[in-house]
Amino acid sequence: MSIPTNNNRRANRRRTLHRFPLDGQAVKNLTIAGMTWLKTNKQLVNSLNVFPVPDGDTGTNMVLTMQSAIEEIVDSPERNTGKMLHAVAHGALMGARGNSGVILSQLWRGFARALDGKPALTAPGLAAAFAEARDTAYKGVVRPVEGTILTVAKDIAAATEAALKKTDDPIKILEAAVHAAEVSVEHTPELLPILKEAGVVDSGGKGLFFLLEGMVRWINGEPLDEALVSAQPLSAMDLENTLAAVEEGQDYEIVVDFRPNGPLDLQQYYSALEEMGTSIQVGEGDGMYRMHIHVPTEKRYEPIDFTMTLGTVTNVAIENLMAQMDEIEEQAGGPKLNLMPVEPGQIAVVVVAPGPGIAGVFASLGAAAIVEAGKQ
Amino acid sequence: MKEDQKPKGKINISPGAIATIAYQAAIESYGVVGLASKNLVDGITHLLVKDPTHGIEVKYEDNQIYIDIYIVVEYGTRIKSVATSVANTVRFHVEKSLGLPISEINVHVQGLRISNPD
Repeated sequence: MSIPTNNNRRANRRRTLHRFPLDGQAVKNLTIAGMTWLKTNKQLVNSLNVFPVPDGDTGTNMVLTMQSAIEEIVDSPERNTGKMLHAVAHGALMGARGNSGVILSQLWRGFARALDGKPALTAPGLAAAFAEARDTAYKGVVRPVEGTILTVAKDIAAATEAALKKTDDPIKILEAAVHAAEVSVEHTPELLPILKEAGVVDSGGKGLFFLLEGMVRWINGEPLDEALVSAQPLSAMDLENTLAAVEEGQDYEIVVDFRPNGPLDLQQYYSALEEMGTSIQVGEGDGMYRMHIHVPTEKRYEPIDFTMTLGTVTNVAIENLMAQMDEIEEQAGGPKLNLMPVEPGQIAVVVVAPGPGIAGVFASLGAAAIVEAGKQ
Repeated sequence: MKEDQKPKGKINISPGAIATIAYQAAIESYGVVGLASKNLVDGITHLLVKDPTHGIEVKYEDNQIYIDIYIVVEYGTRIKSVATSVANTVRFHVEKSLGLPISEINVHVQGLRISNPD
């Protein structure tokens, strides 16, 4: 559903990239595009993080690693692809954060080594680089765990090698890599039971997918600054403060807990919900989903009926927002607190405050949550 | 010896058992290409007997658990990140299985292995 200008830009960039060899500057742009898309989807990657330690920081670590890589190249006028990639690998190494960051830096290291001294990115070069990236990454651990970013790197290498038989266009090879990454990521729960138990795919693998998909999206002239779907862990769902944003046509708040029958296509689910209402949030945890939406009176049963077609609905809550708003306005309980938003993996401050006055002070200092207690 | 007082009887968990859990977690941690001997005597013993806790030392003092991990890291990785990851992974797995907090985890990088010089 792209508008004509997008189509033009898309065609233009593809044509330009085809006319000129993929040199150092093209590689720089691709890397920056990949990083931008990864950053846009950081939250989603964070929310998938259950292995090896469920600390919800995979996306953040991968972004920080890539940021360090980008800093290394952003001002570089280098036209040699090999040299540019060595700079990327060096930056990634220096900034490698966490497990996924270290693996990512190893992937870049192998990738750069395979293209050492190469002036431009060719289809065979790209396939060889993915193979070397895989080999380098696998050497970094005695007992590789499958169903992780390592498996995804392996599947990408295999797919690009196969694609080489059909095309000599490096962009087509990159597209094959993205496709392979997507399929491989979906398959990770089959290889790593802990992912299946938690009802997620591997976070690091998903991060690698976004990195590559960002490159292809840039080539196609697609936007990189807006995530297609946003999911968050249940704990991050902020259902308390959604009331503040109630507008016309948001008469009822519907919250539905459900367990989907099969893998849930979040993107499709979102677009269906957008037809019904606003303030949509979908949270996920242990295979359970919680959907939150504000809908006008006449559509108050639609989201429930729709969700029932997708799986087993375990709990439904309906609240009349208009009536609640009236009540709140009547009470006029002082100014609303502006609390610091919390992202998974971040350290936050929870404050126990005895009254609204001091709570306001703490909120202004950056508290993320306030517990009302402490009164004698 | 780790002791957990219960009304009837008690549970003892030996440092060796804790070390086995730590070893498994450490060996699967990315960037770790091996566990190393702390000293020569340890190294020679390891040549003779393959024990499942090689390179891990668990101490139990005053109700506190201390773990020392001796690792060999892949050359070309960011050593600090690898060491931090190992400590995090080991802490998570041991604390999960044990249900007790670990006071201290020390990671000693005993050497680097070069598989790809560049």
